[in-house]
Formats: sequence, structure tokens, C-alpha cells
Amino acid sequence: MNTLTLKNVNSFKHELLLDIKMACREPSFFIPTIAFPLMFYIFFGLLFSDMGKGQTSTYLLVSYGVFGIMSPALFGFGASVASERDKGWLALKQLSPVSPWQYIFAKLLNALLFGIIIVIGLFTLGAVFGDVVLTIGQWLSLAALLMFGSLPFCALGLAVGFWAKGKSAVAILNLIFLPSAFLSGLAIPVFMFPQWLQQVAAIFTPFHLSQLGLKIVDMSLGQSVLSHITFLFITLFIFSVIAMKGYKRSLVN
Amino acid sequence: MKKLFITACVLCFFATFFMMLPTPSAVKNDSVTIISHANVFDGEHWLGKRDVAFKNGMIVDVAKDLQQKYVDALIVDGSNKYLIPGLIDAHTHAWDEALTQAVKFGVTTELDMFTNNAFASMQREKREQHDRNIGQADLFSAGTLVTAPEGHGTEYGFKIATIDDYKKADAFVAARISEGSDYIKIVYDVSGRGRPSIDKKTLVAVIKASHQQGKLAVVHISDYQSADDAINAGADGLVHGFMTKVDVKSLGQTMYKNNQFMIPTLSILASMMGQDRSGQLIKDFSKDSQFQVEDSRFNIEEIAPQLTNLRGQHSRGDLFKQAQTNTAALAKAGVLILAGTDAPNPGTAHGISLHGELELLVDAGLSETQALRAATSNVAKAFKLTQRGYIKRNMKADMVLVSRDPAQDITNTRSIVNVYKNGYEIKNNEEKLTDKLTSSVKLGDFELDIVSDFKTTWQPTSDQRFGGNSDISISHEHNDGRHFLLMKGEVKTKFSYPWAGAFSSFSVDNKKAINIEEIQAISFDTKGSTGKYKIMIFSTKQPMRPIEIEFEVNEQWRKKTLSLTHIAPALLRSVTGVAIVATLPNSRFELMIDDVWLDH
Repeated sequence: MNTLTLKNVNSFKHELLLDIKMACREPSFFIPTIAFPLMFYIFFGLLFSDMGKGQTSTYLLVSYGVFGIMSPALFGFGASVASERDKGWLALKQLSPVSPWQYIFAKLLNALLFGIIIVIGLFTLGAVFGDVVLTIGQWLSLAALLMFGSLPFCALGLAVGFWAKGKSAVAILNLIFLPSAFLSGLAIPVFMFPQWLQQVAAIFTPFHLSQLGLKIVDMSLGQSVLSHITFLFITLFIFSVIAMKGYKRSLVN
Repeated sequence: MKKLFITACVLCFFATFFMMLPTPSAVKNDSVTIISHANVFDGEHWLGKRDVAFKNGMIVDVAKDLQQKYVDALIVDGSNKYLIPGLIDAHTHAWDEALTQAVKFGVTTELDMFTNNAFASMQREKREQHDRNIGQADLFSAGTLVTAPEGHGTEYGFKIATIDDYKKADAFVAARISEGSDYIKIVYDVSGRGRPSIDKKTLVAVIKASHQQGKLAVVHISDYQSADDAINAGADGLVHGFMTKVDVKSLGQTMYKNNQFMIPTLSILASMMGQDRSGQLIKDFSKDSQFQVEDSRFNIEEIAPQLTNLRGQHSRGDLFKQAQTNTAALAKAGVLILAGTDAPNPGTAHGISLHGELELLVDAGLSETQALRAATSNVAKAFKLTQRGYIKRNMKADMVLVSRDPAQDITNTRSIVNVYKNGYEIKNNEEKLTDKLTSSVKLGDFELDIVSDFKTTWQPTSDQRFGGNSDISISHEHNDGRHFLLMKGEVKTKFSYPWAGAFSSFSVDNKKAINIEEIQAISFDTKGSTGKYKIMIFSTKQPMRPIEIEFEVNEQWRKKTLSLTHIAPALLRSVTGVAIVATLPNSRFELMIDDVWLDH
């Protein structure tokens, strides 16, 4: 198992830059990834939020933040791994000096980079147009939470990417992404759901991440922080294992 | 180099970005208030005309001409008025409305020398809320006093722990501290008159234990010999004066040398000796008095009867005079004298009596300024209180503005214009905070009666109030060396959710809710007809549906500890009482309970 050593740090850098360039050259990836959460936030968080000064815009800042970091994590990872495998890139990379860990780590950084861009965009919109006022500690912990919170989704995307074929991976990820985001209350706050649907929300990972974020701004449903964190860690663990198995399978084929 | 530069740029960008995000600019009540041009007594000395600026409940500045420095400040004109620190009564017994009454008279802190623990524990939270409009005096409390079995303190109708062996001193003091006692109060009397007292050995041991565990030890005495013993045992202070005709010179020297203080409580001694001065006091706080008190905020009609003195005709002015002489002699020796009233014992009342005490101290021979120190900085020094007793930067904005000069005549402290508590003017519209329980509370040990620490009696409760037909009767029983509460009843099914049992309210009128979110569990001993029973907790946040916890009972006494930790804190923040009841499928039942506690 290779780790990052000085010897191959160059190949890692190349891999990372390659990843970023590829993402930037694919408008079908970066436009929806960056634009959608910002656009939704402008619509629902800013334009329609004249009730309650800064309340709605703060709540939705958190939920669209979660929504925002999900898509680079899922698609940047899952869809790209699957399409690279289809095109034979993955096989080529497995032969190259880039170790599998570097390959994944480069993708992870790439996803985080897009995540940060989205977070900065949302924070700017919320602060300038949405009357969102938080302490510096709240701003920072929210940003940090969203960064770390993308990890379970990265694992999920990777798991799908290693197991599904290129086109179907995108379809599967969309099937996971949109329903779980909506049912987790990212678009419409979960407390506006009927009671039974509120209980359904608790089985989705984005719900738990958004509750942690809402906890930071004192708007959560008040469930235990530990249960949310546990849920996120379990998701991370399960999908990492599935992804690992998928990677091994891709070596065999 | 280039890499370093890029990294620095990126970091700079993030730092700038997060710095620029909007943060809450002003805390509520951020504006500064200045009381301008008042003659200020800072707790020790008269400073002359000063401006005193405060915000968020704390004094931020004391100087000449602060109005340029704080341009947006709200100005209260203090010209031709006198500003003194909020007064501290160093000896009271506080419960019920004591603290709201006290603060109206300018007493912003009380040191309690023995009260019900449930009350004291609820006040500790409040005294930390420096910027809230609490509308009451802060309380420090000894909690339960240290006394011998059957000793002074046991005669008030509720059971307290007592100490019968000096070897138990460490554990006894530790128990008081775990209950929350801010200092330890000991009752000691060698005279042999009246109630039994702890012996000298125990006195020494308790004082030593208190000091080892980081608390002051103060001693209730009533004669010279007891005072001398307590001082030689290393007590931090005496909480009463004494009327023994004796030369106190050597006692005074010892006390001065060791920084030991005295709270002479002349008010209660005067009452006991039939020295009635309440007439003038009542008059001074009545409407249309010489001090032109603006309205009836002092509620003097209700307070006046409490000021009737203890002895009536059998006046012993000579003995009282002796107490004053001893006090003056000790003061002259340099002993720190603290003003304390022993309110609300007969002849005294919270708040108002401290003004009487100041007069008695001056009458004894202290100067007006010395008397003011006795009710401000001396108390802070003696009890190591921070943030109070002075008008200085970083002290609480607890102050009294009076219209006449107390340095000329001490009774001028009665010319109250305004009392400031946490920077808020005391009016009658104070914000009501829900009291929070911060220590364990006993709902009943059923030894003497079926009354809880909240002074409420256990009541039968059943679904009859909702049109049901269950029966219940409760009684106080004694059997097998155990006192307990017995419930006998029958659960009948007319109402859909039938119950029958016993209810313990947290307040006499069952209207006041208490915050019990820090309570971990409800524990009690129980036995009775085998079956399932329930605890019902009544939260105002969920009025139609009590919180319910099930437990099982059989024919043996068993201890039950029902955890509350799984209950949403929001519900526990506003609870009016607790019931222990039988429900279906019980029909006829008998249930006995004992030692019911809210465990912190």
C-alpha cells in the first residue's frame, strides 16, 4: 500500500491538477454543481424569505450548504470514477506511478475545492443579501462542518462509481442525490413535513448533516448531536468498505 | 518561494473572507447609562461628585465628566443626590418573597444564615445573571446550619441533619458543601441555657473541616464565653453580638489580629430586649414622609406588623445598651463590623430593617461612614464576595441613589430615589425568571409530616377532575419503624385514561413552574399491591399530557430510581409538580412511598 512520499509527490500533484482541469473543462459537471445550490438559495432563501428577519435565510444557508457540498462529493467522485473506468483511464492509472490512494486523495481534494467554492458563494449571498448574522465561531464551524461532512458523500459516490457503469452511475447518483436531499428537508425545512415524513427523513444522511449544521445556528430539531455524528460515521464506514471492494473488483476485471 | 506566496495568498483570502462575514454587532442592552454628578460613596470613602457609567449590569467607569467619553449614554441626573453601593444584609433567613422585598429597600445582596436548601439552590443561578432584570436581591446562603441534635435550628418544624460527634465533622461539612452551602454556619452555646449545643471539640473540628474544604466558618453565639471560644477555635466571624457585661479588649485584639469579623445583629437584639424603634422606620418609608417617597412601592402596610418587637413591655434597655457598647469597643479595636439584621425574625423584616440596623450601629458609636462600610465593603471583604460592595469598575451595577446625605445623618439612607439592581431600576415590572433547581430536593421523607421541601403538602389526585370515577385516599402512616405515605384507592374505567394517586406540587398555589432540567432522576422507596404504577410529571409546556414513567411494585420495600435523562429538556424547564399514581390494569390498590427525592 503506497502512501504519499516525496518520491511520488510529483505524480500526485499532476494527478490533482489533471483532476481539477478535467472538472473545469466539463461544464456539464461544474455548472450544475456550483450554480444549482447558489441559484436555489437565491430563489428560496433570499427572494422568498421576507418573513422573519434573517431566519429563513439562515436556515436555508445551512440546508443549501449541505445540498451544495453533496453534488461535488457524489458526482466529482462517483460519476468521474465510473466514466474513467469505462474509458479505460482507470486501468491506465492503475499501471501508472500514481498509487490508488493518491488517485482517491486527489479526487477528494478536488471535491473539497468545489465544496469550498460553493460554501464561499453561499456565505457571501447570505451575508450580503440575506441578513444572515452569525458569530465568527459559527461561520467557521459551519464551514468546517460542511467540509468534513462531505466525506460520507465522497465515500457514497466512490462506492457507486466503482460498482456502476459510467452512464448508469450518473443516473443512480441522481436517484440518490435529489430524493435524499428533498426528503432530508434541504429544500423545504423538515419541520414543515407531516409527522410521518419527518420520521422518514431520519434515515437519510443529508438530514443528519443538516441537523448538525442547524445545531450550530441554534435551529436544529434538538435531537442528540452524538446520534447525528454516529450516523455520518456509519455511512462513511459502510460506503468506504463497499468502495474498497469495488476497487479490488476493478483490478480483477 | 512562489508556492509559499500562493499559500499565503490563499490563507489571506480565507482569513479576510471570514473576517468580513457579518457578526452580531451589539449585545442586547448594550447602551451605557451614566448617573451623573452624584456624590459617590464607593464602599470605603466618599469620592465627591463623580459620574458612574454602567452597561450590561456592570459598572464600566467611575470618573469626573464621563459624558464626553460615552456620547450615546443615557444620562440620569444625580446632581444634589448621593450614590452608595447596593446594601448587603449580612445576616438574614430568606425564603418566599424575601429577596424581592429586600431589593426595594436598596438591599441588593443578602447573606442567608440558614434556610431551606431548595430555595437557596434556586437563587445561586440567578446571582450569576449579571445583566438580567431579576428584580430581586442576590442570595448567598449557609444552607443547613451545623447544630447538635435538638439544638437551635431544629425547632422550626422540618427535619435537618445534626452532628453528635466531632469525628463526623469532615463528612458533615462535605455534605453541606455538596448541598451548595456558600459558607458554613455553626450554632454554638456554652451557657447551658436553652437548647443543646455542640461541644467545643466539635466546634473546633467543624471550623477546621470548613477551612480544609475551602469555606468560611461563621458562628452563632449569644454570650461572651461562646464568642471567645469560637474566636479561639479560628472561626472567621461571629454572626451575632452579645450582651455580656465584660471587657472585650483582648477579644478585640485577637479578632483584629486574625481578621475575624462580627455581625452584631443589633436589630434582633433590640427586638428581643424590647427596644422598639420601628415607629420612625415605618414612618420614614410611608407615603408623604419627610423623605418624600414618591409612591407606595415599599408596601409598608404589609411590612409594618413584622416590625413589632419580641418582648413588648419587659424592656431590657440596659442589656441592649451593653450589646451596643461591646460592638463599639470591638469596632474601636479595628474589628470588621458587618451590618446584619436577622430578618425576618420577630421585630425585623427584609430590606427595611437594614436601615434600622445602620441607625443602631451609629447609635452604638460608629461613624456614619463606618456604618455604611458595614453594609457594603466590609461584607465583601469578610465574605470574600467579588463584584459587589463597591462602586468601582467591574463591580455589579447594584447601587442606591438617595436624595439626602447619609454621611450627615445615617437615617438619610431612607431617602431612596432609585435602586439599581444589575443596572436595572427597581420597579414593579420585573422580568420573571423561572427558578432553576441546581441541587437535590426532597419531596418527602414523611418523618414528621407529608410536606415537601417546597413547603407543599402531598395531595390525593385522581381522574375525577376530568369526570372519571377512580377513588383515592392518602394518609401518613407509621409501621415497622418506618414513616411513609399510604395511598389506598381503586382505578375505575369511566375516564379513558384513569388514574389515582398522590400529587406533590412545587408551589403552594400550584401555579409556579420550576426548571428541573438539571435533575437526573426521581428516586423513592415503595411497596404495595403488585403491579405497574406511574410517575406523572406536569410540565406547562405540555399541559394536557403529563410526562409518564412506569415502574413496578411488589410486596417488598424497594428503592426505585427513575431516570429523567431521556426526557426532552424543554419539557423539564417548566414543571409544576409530580404525582405517583396507579393506572390500569390496577383496580383496587394500596401503595406506600417513602423518601421521595428529585436527584440532582
